Amino acid sequence: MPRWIKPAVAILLLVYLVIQILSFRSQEKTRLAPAERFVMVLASPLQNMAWSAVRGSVNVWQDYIRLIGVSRTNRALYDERNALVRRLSELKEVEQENRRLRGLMEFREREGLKLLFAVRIASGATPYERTIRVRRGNADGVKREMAVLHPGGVIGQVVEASGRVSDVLLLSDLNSAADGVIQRSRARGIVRGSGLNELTFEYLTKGDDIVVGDEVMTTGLDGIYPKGQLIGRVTRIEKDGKGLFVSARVKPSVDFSRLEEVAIVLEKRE
Amino acid sequence: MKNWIAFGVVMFGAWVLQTSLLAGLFLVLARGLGLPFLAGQTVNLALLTLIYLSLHRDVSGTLIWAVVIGFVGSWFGTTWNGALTSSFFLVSLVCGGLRRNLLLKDDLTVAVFAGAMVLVQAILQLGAGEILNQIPGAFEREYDVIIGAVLVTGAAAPVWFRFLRAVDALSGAISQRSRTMLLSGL
Repeated sequence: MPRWIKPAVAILLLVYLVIQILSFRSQEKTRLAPAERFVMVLASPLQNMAWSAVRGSVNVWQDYIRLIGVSRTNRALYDERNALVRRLSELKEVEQENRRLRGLMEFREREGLKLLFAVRIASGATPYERTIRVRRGNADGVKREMAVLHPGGVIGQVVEASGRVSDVLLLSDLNSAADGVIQRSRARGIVRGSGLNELTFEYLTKGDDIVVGDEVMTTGLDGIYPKGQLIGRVTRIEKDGKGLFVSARVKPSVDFSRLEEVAIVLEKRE
Repeated sequence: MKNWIAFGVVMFGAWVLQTSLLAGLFLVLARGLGLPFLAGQTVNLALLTLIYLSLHRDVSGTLIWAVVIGFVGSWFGTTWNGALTSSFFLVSLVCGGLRRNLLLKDDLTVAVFAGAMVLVQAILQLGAGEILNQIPGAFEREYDVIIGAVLVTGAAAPVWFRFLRAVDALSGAISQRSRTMLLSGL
C-alpha cells in the first residue's frame, strides 16, 4: 500500500465529517434532544440573570453613574443660566433707565426750561392722597409750588420741600388743579384731580368745541405749570343738560403709578 | 419704658415701610398682575399698630399714641393738617370703647375687625376732608380705593398683630386686655 493512502483517506473522512456536520446544523430542528433541553432549562435562568445583570449595569451606568456628571453639568448650566438671566435683567434695567434719562435730557433741550431731575423715593402716607416723595429739596433749589414734569406730560407741583427731599402733589390728587386748554379748539377750563388715574376738565362752556381724543394742554395762566405742557386726552364728555358748563374726563398722558424719575421746573422761560 | 421705645421704633418703621417698600410692592404687583386697582395701595401698618395698641393698652395712653402716630404720619404725606391725628384719635377711641366687647379669637375675626377700622378711619379722614371742603367729592371718587385699603390692610392684620405680640413679649409688656380678662375671670 502506498504511503499517501492513509493521509488521503483521513482527509476524505474529515471532509465527509465536516459535510455531515454542516448538513446536520442546517436542518430544521423540530425536536430537542433531552440533553440539550436539560442544558437549556438549566442555563436559561442563569443566562437571564447574567444578561439582566449586564443590562442592569449598563442601565445603571447610563442612567445614574454617567448622569452624575450630567447632573453636575446641568447644575453648572442652571447656575450659569440664572446668572445670565440676572445679568440680562440688570442690563434691561440699565437700558430702561438710560432710555428714561435720555428722554429727560431731550425733554430739557426741547422745552428750554431749567429743570432739575429727581428720583422718586416714596409714596403718600395713605392711599387717599396722590403724592410722591422725591430726593431733591431746598438744598437743591427746590421750592413750594414749583411744577413737576415728565417727558410724557405734567406730573404735579411741589407742596413741601425740606433739606434733601420734597413732596409732590400729583395732578390726579383731589386737591390738584391746573388751568388747561383743548389744543385743537383752544377751549379753556380747569383740570382737576379725580382720585385714581383720571382727571376732570371742568368749566367748559356748552358751546365749546370738544371731542373725545382732544389733547389737553397747560395754559401757563395758573402761575405754576409752564405753558404748552401735555396734560392728557379727553376720554368722555359729560353734558349736564341743565347747567351752564360741560365737563370732560381726561386720561393723564403720564401713568402716575410708573413714575421713577421726574423733572422739577426751577425756572420757567418768559 | 422699654416697650414705649420699642413701639416708637415700630411706629416709625411702619410709616417708612408703608410709604416705600409696601407701596412700591403694590405698584409692582399692579403692573405684574395687571390689576390697576392695586396701584397706589399699601398696607396701613401705622393704623394697624394703633388698633393693636388700642386693644391692648389703657385708653388714655393709647390716645396719646394715636396723636403721635398721626402726627408723625403727616411727615410722610401731604394730607391736610389734622387729617391723620383726628381720624387716628377717633379710631383709637372706637377701639378702646369696643375692647371689652370684643373676642378676637382667630385670624379671620382680627382681619375683619381691622378692615372695619380701616373703613372707619377712611370715613373719618375723607368725611372730615369733604366737610371742611379740603377734598370735594371724596367718597364718590375714592370708594374703590377705600375698598382696596380695607381688603389689603385687613388681610395683613393677623400677620402684623403677631409681629406686635412678639415685640410686646420681647419688651415685657403686659396686655391690658389680658389683665382685664384675668380680673374678670375669663
